[in-house]
Amino acid sequence: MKYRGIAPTAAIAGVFLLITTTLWTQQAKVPGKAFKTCLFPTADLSTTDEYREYRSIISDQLRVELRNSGFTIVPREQWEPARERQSIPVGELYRGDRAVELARQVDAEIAVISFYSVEDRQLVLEIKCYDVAQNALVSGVFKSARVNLSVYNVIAEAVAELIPRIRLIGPPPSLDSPVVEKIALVSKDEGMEIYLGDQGFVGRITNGQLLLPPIPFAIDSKITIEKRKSSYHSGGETIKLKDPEMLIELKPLRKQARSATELNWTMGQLLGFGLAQRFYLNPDSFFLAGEHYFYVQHNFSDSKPVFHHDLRVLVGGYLFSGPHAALRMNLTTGLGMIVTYFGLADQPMYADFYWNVINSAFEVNFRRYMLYVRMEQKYALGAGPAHILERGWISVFGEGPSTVTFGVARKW
Amino acid sequence: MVKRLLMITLLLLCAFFLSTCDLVVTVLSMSPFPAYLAQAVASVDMRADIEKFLGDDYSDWESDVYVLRNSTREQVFLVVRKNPGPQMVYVFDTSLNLEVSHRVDTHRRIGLVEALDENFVVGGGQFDGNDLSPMNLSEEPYPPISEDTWQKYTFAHGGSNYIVWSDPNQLGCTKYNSGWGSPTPGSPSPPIKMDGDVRLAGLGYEPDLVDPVLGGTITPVYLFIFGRDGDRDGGYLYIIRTDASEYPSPSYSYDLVTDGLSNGRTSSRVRDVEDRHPFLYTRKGVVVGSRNRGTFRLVGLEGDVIKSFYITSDERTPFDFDIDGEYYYVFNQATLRLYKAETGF
Repeated sequence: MKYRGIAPTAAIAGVFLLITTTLWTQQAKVPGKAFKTCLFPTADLSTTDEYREYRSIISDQLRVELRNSGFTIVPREQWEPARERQSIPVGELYRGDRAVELARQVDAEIAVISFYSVEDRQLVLEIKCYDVAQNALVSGVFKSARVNLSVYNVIAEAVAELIPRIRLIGPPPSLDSPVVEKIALVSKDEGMEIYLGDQGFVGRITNGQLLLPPIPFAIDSKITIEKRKSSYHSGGETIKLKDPEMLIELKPLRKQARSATELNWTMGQLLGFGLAQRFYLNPDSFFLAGEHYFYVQHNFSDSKPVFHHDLRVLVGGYLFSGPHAALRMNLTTGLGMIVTYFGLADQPMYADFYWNVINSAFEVNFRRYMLYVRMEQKYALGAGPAHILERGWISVFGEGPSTVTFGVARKW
Repeated sequence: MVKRLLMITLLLLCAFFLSTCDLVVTVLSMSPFPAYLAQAVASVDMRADIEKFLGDDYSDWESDVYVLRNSTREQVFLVVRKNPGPQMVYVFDTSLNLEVSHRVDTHRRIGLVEALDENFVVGGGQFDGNDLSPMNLSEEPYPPISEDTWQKYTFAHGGSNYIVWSDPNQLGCTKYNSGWGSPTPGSPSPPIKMDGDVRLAGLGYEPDLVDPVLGGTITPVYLFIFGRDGDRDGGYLYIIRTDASEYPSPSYSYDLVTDGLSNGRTSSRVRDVEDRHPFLYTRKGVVVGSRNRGTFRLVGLEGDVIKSFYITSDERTPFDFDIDGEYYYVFNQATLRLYKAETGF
């Protein structure tokens, strides 16, 4: 089984790459197989039995994570007879030498032990991982925490830290294992910096390309790079290495938008249009906006039209997704004023003030443009020296749905 | 070049077609502001008059608008009522020229109805075209000292005035032989049986129409019967055509709603209506409130819905229609302006 089965998150891939490159020369770990793993019971070394329940919590968490990561867990029924033959107490399986010996007898490649103790409500947890073939400690995690709800987080953190390191265990690559000899990155983002896991900064796009330093990545493995450039949003990209010589065209970075200009139409105000300007306090995240919507109210008869200028100031921000996301949602709120004057003679000018309580917008996010639909809830304040609307929600056709606006925005 | 011309012609034709489509016009006419603003053909600023009347008691007051007709013309009445306190009646012609105003020193809500001659009835007073004067009707149901004056309706026929109302299970009618002088002995009578869940919610009539079949003149009287559907706002409406000559004791003995009338002059049921506003008769149809706030329907006399239209979502805005259904008059309590607006019917 290949590592395709492992959750391909960018974080794990980054850690994987980091450790792969740093430990290659020692234990040279090439991913590519499902390691046969002996996971031994967690030992409680506390002086009392008060905290026994953590044994199963830690064991279960380890088991789940190892399985999720593609490791093959050797069932207890397989190593239990060997343990009995050698008269190894279960309580001593937290000792590395015993665990490795037992794992070897069932042809396991990895042995994982764990133990903890609680003294004065302070939990100390240690998880160790051994390479059976090398009879060597590969990795260990040590954590301590007060006994409260955060203990569960600490356990989860410890397990999460260990898993990527376990993946590195295995036989060194044979000399004829195919590796990538050359990786060239191509990009239009001139000057973009490339970071590669623990290698850190590996180079900068110059004249449209960057040749990575020689690192013997295995064919069919994946690497994740981070791209950075001033005034642009950083981005990550995972690349599958298929050939000995790779020429990879990187996706361009998204420029940090400092402002955006909007053009929109609102239901119930279709005989007109709105223009708005956003100013981002934080690029593509929090913003202030000013909007002017002009529209004509007309019933297409002999009567005279009415003209409205809706002016408002909004503040808002995005939720849930970042600037690279194809779909984004933002919320805004603000204050506004609608100036009204009439085509009919001898009519005064009016100004209706309102609180734009909440707008929720859903955007299709392109590189330079955004298309959006926005639900708006406006509440007329019914105040001011000359107003038309009484205090209450502003909507088209009485109790109908909130006002809906469609728009397009150009980012700058 | 020819292609371009053809394309432009096609676009213009499409635009013309769309502009004639009711749905497109309706959508383009939508606005968060009251519809009558863009339908207005005239308006009058009443701020100075009303502020003078209200004085310091400006915070709590209400208003009504009536369009009434006599034998020669229509007039528009704006009633402004302090709460509590007296009320002021402003009378306009249909071009919204203020003709006369009169203070009524009672807080009881006054109802304005149509009547014969030049006399509009204004609750406990009558308007003779120039001024309001106290009116003393001897009949108890209408109009003096009755809490449900608002629920009573009038029509005129053959030199007499009639007041019609509904009790819980019947219609009642009082006839005044000459103007509003005195009621006909024996009335009111219980002429028409009604189901207990319905009530008379409006009335419209057309005096002295020529009967196309029988010849001669007739005065059809349309009763608007409203019934609740069980919930608070919603209900249904029947439009029942009767004949003025049979009042005050018409010979109908049927249950109006359940059985209809013998000659089948009951409309089909109009569903999903509400009675927060009165049902108003015009020659284009009956204006009926719908359950979508601020939206009304024009309903034919057979109960067919002709069109829906929007006026305003502000329930405090009073309005009334002229008899031809060409214009309606509406008072905006925020701007203190009375508007005359096109109906588009």
